[in-house]
Amino acid sequence: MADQMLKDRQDVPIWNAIDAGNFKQALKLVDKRLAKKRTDYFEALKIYIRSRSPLLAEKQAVLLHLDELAEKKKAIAELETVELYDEAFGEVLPEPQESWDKIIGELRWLCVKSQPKNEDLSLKCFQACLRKGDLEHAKQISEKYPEKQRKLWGSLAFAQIGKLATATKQATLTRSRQDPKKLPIRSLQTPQELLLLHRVTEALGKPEQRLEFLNDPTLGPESAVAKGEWQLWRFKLNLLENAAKWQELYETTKSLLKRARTKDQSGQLSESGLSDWIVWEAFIRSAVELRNHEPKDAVIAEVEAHLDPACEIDKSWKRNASLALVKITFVSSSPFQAQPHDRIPVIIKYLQKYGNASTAYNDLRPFVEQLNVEDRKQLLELILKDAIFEETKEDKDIKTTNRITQLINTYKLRYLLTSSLPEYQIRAGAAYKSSRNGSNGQYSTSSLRQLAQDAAKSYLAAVHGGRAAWNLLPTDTHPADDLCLLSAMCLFKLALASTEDSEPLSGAKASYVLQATALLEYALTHSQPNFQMSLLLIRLYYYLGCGSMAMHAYKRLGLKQIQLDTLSYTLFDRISTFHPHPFSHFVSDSSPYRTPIESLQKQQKMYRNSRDQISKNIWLSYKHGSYNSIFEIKEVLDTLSRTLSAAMSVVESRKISGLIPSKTESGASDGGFDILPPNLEASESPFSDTNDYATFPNFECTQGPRFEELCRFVPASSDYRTRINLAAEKLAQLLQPIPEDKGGKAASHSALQSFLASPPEKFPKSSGDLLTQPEELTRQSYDAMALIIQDVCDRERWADQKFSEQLESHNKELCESLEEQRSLVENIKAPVPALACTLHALYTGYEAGKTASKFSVYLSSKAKDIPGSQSQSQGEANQKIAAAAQRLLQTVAEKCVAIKKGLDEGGLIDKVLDSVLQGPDGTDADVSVLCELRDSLDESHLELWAGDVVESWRDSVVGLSWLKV
Amino acid sequence: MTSLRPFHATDVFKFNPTNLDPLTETYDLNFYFSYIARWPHLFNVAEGRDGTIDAYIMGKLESSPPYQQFSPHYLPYHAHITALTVSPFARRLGLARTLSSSLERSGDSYDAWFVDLFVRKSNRIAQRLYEGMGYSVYRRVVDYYSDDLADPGKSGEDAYDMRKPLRRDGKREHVRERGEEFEVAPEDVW
Ligand SMILES: CC(C)(COP(=O)(O)OP(=O)(O)OC[C@H]1O[C@@H](n2cnc3c(N)ncnc32)[C@H](O)[C@@H]1OP(=O)(O)O)[C@@H](O)C(=O)NCCC(=O)NCCS
Repeated sequence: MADQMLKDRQDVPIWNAIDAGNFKQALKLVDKRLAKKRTDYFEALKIYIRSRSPLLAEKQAVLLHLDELAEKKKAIAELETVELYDEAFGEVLPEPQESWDKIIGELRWLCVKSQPKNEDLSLKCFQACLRKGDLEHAKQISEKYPEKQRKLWGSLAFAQIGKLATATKQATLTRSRQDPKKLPIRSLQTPQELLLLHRVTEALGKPEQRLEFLNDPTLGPESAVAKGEWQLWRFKLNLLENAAKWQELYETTKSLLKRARTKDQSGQLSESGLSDWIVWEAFIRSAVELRNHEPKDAVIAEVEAHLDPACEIDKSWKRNASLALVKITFVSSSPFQAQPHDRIPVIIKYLQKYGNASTAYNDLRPFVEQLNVEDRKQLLELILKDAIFEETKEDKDIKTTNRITQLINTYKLRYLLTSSLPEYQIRAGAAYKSSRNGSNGQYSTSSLRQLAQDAAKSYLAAVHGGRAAWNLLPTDTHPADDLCLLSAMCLFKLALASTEDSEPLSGAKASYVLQATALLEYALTHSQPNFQMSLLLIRLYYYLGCGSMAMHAYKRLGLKQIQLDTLSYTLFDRISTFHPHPFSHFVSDSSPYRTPIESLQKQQKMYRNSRDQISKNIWLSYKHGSYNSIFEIKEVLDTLSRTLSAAMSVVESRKISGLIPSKTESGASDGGFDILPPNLEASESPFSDTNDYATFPNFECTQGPRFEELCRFVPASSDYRTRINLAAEKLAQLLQPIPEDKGGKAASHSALQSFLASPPEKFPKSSGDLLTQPEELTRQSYDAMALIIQDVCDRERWADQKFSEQLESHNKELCESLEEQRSLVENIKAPVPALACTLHALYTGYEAGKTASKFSVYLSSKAKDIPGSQSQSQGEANQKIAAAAQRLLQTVAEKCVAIKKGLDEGGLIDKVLDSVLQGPDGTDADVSVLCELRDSLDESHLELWAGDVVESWRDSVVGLSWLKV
Repeated sequence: MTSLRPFHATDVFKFNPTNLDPLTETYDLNFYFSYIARWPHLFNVAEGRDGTIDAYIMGKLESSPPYQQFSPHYLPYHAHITALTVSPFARRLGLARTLSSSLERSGDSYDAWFVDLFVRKSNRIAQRLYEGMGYSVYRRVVDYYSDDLADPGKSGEDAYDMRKPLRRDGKREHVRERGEEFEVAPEDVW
């Protein structure tokens, strides 16, 4: 200490005196220095010297002085000075928890606060506070450095848990080997504690250290403490791979795989789980990296040992071995100079063996994608000639699960090769002579159409005669379902490749969508529990503007609890511009989900209940020593407090209740803002996206977008849109007059003040495709409105030189975007039946118009306060805004009338049926894939369904009656 | 491919492929998290490509509470399969068998007497799975389930309580023949 404090040479005699215990002399010297120049340092040094005095009176005086110092709350800038006081304090009161916090902790905190940029200082003070157990000041200090905070706390945690790890190590070395019961109390004793050790070490970014722990026999995956915790092996393989320790990885995985197939003393394969796919992957990776023949041979030998009929390991593990053979063949092609033509035989072999397992396609997909064009062509030819499953060729009966699964796997491969791999069509081979490019320039529409047709045909043949032939439980899906999904997906892609027509029902796009819908609805009569079909149907009905049918498909999912967070988006994202009103068709009056608001409220209730459930279990984990679980559960808590879906439920509820007054006032109008942290739209950390996109069926190639992404008709939920929506709600709230009983003018004034204090962020136009066109125009209007309010209501801005120029340009922008929105609505060419895009444009346009109209009322009183001529010109601008808003609302209303009238005309059911069975009028006759299959379709079912679709359109337009001027 | 890993709390955001199946119930978060809190090592997932959840098993290890000590329905220390579910796209691959044998091994290593579970009487597929692994019906719990998925008209369905003795029960004291005929009420089971 003394060494550190040597300010300069002149101080040496003082410290010599102190060290010699000659405090009188030391004091004299300090006083001399102080007489020359009073500095904080010498003041402190004096107190320090006095603290060393054996006299009680001196010690009391020191304490008093220190107390006063902290009371004054004056920041001392130099750390040395603060540390002298700390030393002095320690001399006077060696074990004084509380007063240390109050005096020295406070001095340290004041010191840090006075120099916010000095990180070194803060680190030292932080550590000092922690050492003394002054968590309050430690926390304050660490909060000043959020980016450093984790590191600081992490170091502490690491220090603590590292000590425990060492204790475990030493105890095991010195005591009887590996008996966890004999470990000292302060040591790591459970798998959860080991996981915590890794969590802490990982947080500090110390992979080497983690590997060291894992390699230690007392702390690693084989230690007695680990109790076989598999996660530790996962960590170890991963770390070895990241560290490129190939030889070690190779030896480790090789021995794990051998152990997996070796019986224990009781004749059991008790370690079969070591044949996990991640072990195989690591084995192959290391073998390839080692680049010589022996490792590759070892992989093949291990595969053979696993596949030996005498090896009794479960089939799930054997399949890994077979797949490992495919993998080694593919990855070793270049380093081992294997002939590329190995690749097709190995794929065929795998297919022959596992083609009857539903996983075969998923397993092979990443490899098939790597085939070169020639190989792809060869594989495709084999598939088209049905030459893969030789043994079963005679077996024409597809009504066995095995056979149908084989068929499905080959169809999926065909889809991959012809309609999902993007490069294919560039180099179309012999098998596709008839192919021609689709209008989207991506896939050959004729091969899509052919595939849609073939798959549908095989599907219809398989389900012909009902489920009875298949020996299924009522809760089982039908084994042929994927054929139907595949066909529907091809139709979906065809729809996306077609352009919209001037009359929806005469265009190819709607025809494809309707065909896919009809096919899936029919399939559901054979396979009610198939949720992937329901998911696709929600999307298709959304496109068609059939709200109640979409709701019907949604209800079939039977979502509960957390699923309300992960899957609500499928129907409820943008529900306020799709079907904000009660469902009166297909959903019974007594159903608790008759109105969208009820569903959204149910979702919000789940969030409220969850908080408590989660916190309760953080405590329970702690109680049971499940330390790792604490972090995991906490992660859910943090994630769930800010999901896109939660924000969606608030935004949509608010928009709906702004449009349709709810009969039961029970909190519906506030939209459930309480489930979100305040001012979330302005917070720095992004919203968490917990929406489940992965449960949609997906047979696409792995490098490209998933099917869920391909089949979006509108941009998905995004952080950007969510923030815009929340900010827009803030503005809408401000414009809402506050009734006298809720605070009236005063409340309105304070709302304005807080709006001005933290005005909504200005959202620049996004570069990506994140908003629909009507949403983009509305964003522009809201942006302009927020800026105008700030100009008009914030007096400080009035003096700005550019004030009037800016205000004028905002006024102009607002009028322009309203006008553009009006023309967008007016130009809806094909409004009957109203597809989702039409409904969306109308509701969105209405919302923008209505808000602008309220805005002009709000502003008319405020603008009067602006001094000079600007007040009058803003008054005029305001009138223009009001008029533009009015025109927009008028246009929306007119379109609504036209749509309703159009739907009243008859013949729609026939048009739907024609569109499905014949394709668009007269034009391209081969648009209808189902046309040729009509004999296999249940036509009466089809007619009933067409009736429902039309009924659903009628139900959808009921909501338009709320869009009044 | 087959790959197992421990269930992570955030998997509740990803378990729809298994939980949208009608035979798999989705409970509130308290349910899942209390298992993660108490028996994290008995809650495991089979992962598909891209980390999708193909299957999971939730288990626990416990005995009946002490006050039941003298009840005829008292259960000694045993492993219990609370949930076992495989997504419809990953069935018949052996995942259920692999996951339940891993629970049996844990039961053995914690010296439990047996593994047990409840299964709907109509769920022949699951029964076949368990029978194939050496489980047998120990008793029938009348109207254990409040609905009948096969027949919406009915208001309840029986459960079979199935058991497999573990190493500790070398004498097979905790299993019985023709357990289907041994009826108990839902309040008798714990
Ligand atoms: C029951 C269930 C878990 C089986 O999962 P799985 O992974 O498909 O089963 P496995 O592949 O491990 O099958 C093991 C054995 O069970 C039997 N089995 C499984 N599915 C069967 C079926 N559809 N028909 C006949 N036997 C079947 C077979 O004997 C099979 O062995 P084999 O394939 O070597 O002939 C799965 O169907 C499921 O998730 N069902 C819904 C949820 C449920 O019922 N859970 C059980 C609650 S207790």
